[in-house]
Amino acid sequence: MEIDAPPLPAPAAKRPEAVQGRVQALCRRVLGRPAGSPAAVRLPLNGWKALRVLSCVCVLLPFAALGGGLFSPPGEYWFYVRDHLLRAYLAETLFLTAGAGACAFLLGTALAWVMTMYEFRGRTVFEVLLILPLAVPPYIAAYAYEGLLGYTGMVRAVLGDLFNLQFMPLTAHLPARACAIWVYGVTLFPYVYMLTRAALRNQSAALFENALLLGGGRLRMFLRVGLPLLRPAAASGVLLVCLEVLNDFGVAGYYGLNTFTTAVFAAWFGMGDADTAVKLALMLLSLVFFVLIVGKAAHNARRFRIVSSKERPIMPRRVGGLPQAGVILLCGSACLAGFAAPLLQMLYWLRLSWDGAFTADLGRALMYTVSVATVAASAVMIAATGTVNAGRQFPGKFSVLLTQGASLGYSIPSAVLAVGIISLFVAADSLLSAYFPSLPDKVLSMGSFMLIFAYCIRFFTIGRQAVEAGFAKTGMIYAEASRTLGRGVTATFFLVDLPMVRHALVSGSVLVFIDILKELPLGLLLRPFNTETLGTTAYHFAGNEVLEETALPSLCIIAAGTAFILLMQYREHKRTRHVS
Amino acid sequence: MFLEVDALHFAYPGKAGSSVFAGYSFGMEAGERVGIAGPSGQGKSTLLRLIAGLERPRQGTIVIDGRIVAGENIHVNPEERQVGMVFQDYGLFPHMTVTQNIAYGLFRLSRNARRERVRTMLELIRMQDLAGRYPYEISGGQQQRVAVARALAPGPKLLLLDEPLSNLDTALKSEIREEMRELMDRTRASCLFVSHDLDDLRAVCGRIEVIGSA
Repeated sequence: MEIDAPPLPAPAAKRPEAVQGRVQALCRRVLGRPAGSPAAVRLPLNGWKALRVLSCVCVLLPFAALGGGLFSPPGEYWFYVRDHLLRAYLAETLFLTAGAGACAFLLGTALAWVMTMYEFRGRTVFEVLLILPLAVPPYIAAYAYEGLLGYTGMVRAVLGDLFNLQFMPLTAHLPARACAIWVYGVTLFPYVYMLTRAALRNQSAALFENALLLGGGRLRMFLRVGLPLLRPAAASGVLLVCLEVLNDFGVAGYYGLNTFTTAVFAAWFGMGDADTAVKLALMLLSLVFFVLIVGKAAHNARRFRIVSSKERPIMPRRVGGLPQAGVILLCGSACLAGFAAPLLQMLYWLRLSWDGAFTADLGRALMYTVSVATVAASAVMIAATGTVNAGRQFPGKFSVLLTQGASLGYSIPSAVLAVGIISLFVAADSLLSAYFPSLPDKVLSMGSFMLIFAYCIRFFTIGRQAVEAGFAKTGMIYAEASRTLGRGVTATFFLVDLPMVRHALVSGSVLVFIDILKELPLGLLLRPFNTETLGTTAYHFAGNEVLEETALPSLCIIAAGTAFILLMQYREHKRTRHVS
Repeated sequence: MFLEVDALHFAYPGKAGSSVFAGYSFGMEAGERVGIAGPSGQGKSTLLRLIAGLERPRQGTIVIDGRIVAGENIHVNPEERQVGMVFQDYGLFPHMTVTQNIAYGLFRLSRNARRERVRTMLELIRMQDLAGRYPYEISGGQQQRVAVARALAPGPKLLLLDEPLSNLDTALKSEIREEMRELMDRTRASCLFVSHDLDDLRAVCGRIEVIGSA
């Protein structure tokens, strides 16, 4: 059988003759020579590149606006802050960051070690439970612990009823700093746990078997072999914890601690001094860069490579009796402290406040949060997908640099970002009213657009990482096959790439959505007047000491986070089972 | 010459000092079937990627059927070169059926013409019964045939085959090799076939070029 069908028509020229002529003329002028085939001339910009540049510039703009604050003349309050408060802000911030990092490191690495090295009852359940603390925002855990350990708290009541013990509540004895570090530690340790666990799983069993054969016991093996190998992963986890603490306002604000973040809020709201807020925000930014550099150095210092070509995975050793009880106690305590205790306290409060819990205000806050989160998550995923696809189709050093710069948004504390965005939007509003006097006053900075924009910048990196993970799985082969079959970059994206990465996009959007639900500082600073999010509603109830009322908004946030984590765990479990 | 590769220079980014090609030249006539052999890492697949437009050479020109597709300040995009390519892993779109995979490159044809061309290609690879299956529902040999049919369907000026038999077991390989030769005879396509297996090249190609020190 012969194929007698005629060959397909050649692809049509993309630009009409007149345009081609102009391109040729332009090339002659710029390059000093004709450009050859007009259709082949490499133009510096196309839609994908433009989307990438636009997304990255949008992310970077508020920081540029913030930089302008360096040169503004300082107000009177600034001198007071500089002379009397600055040192305290720095000390408090560093103490909390270091304390929370250390707490998360100890808990996270210990848990990763026992979960990888030992087989015990309930291990598979703990696999899921130990990640759930990520569903509880630290500020909600702080409210719950106040309820649990306070004067009328459950712990005091139960011990009093059962053992007739009368004592001062724990929160009255413990310094606020210790409470805050405890809350950060028990809610944020999964960052360290997950990364060190993944690193440990990639190690060869032979390393640890050799360490045992060479003597010294299991503790020495952990300290001399396990910890050094896990250091890069643990450093990355601790870095994430430190960034979360530097970003936090809810816990520090609730315990009345003077950190840089609370100082930005105090300068902005308390004193109405925007210049001082900008200066404090810039200092916080410098602190973040310092932490990033230290974290990167700790991650990169003394990294090891396995030299054996055959890597046998670690098989967990079955333990029983007292060691098993100890391991279960450790894992159970971590789950209880980070997830179950705050959840139970919130459920208890919900029961107490059930009758008046469902108010119209709360309904409005829920609707507003869901709609803002939906719009922002969609915008993040569109920008992230465009940026990543442009980066893989048109690679270059500039694109890498631009994307890396834009990724800093997630490391930058929300308070700093909010100050930058307000500066930017106020400037944009002034320009708009100068050029378009018919427009309403402060059209950009008074609505929800500013908050959505801020969420997009803050969570752009999360979306980008999700999209990159999706594209990494598919690789370039399908896109290349599509292009050799005559489809351009855009058609290839919609027909081939998009259907193949859709699961990653859905996961990414849900992750961004959940993070927006949990986010507090941006909501507090940038929401429109007379509008509340779930987070700010809980915050205001806690601030007014009606802790029971925080239950419903807090439970909505916890439920969304828990559902997402369980779904992801289920999918991972299915995937692992399928692979094995 | 139908395909002319002249003084080609290429190196992958980030690998300074280790160029894949430094002044490589090569040519083939229309309708010719040329095999490219050579040890691993000598740039056999890279040559195909450069001809297809998936990589950009640092220097040198590539001319296909009288048209400069790569040269100084010239880079014709892969979709505009009218070159078909069969990848080592086939690259069949997993979310499309066999029919949809073959029809993918026929978007410039009318619906009827497209249907007719797909039917012809399915007949050619003797897979009419499996037209509605997804790639994961057919065997490795069948996937390979679909990949060839998909690349041939738009009637490319040049077909590039990048080790299309390397994923098949030995027994199946000799069978598919024969089928492939038969297919190439029928379609009379100009073809550049890369493989590290000389038996594959001898079975399909009329001439064999060696890259590097074989």
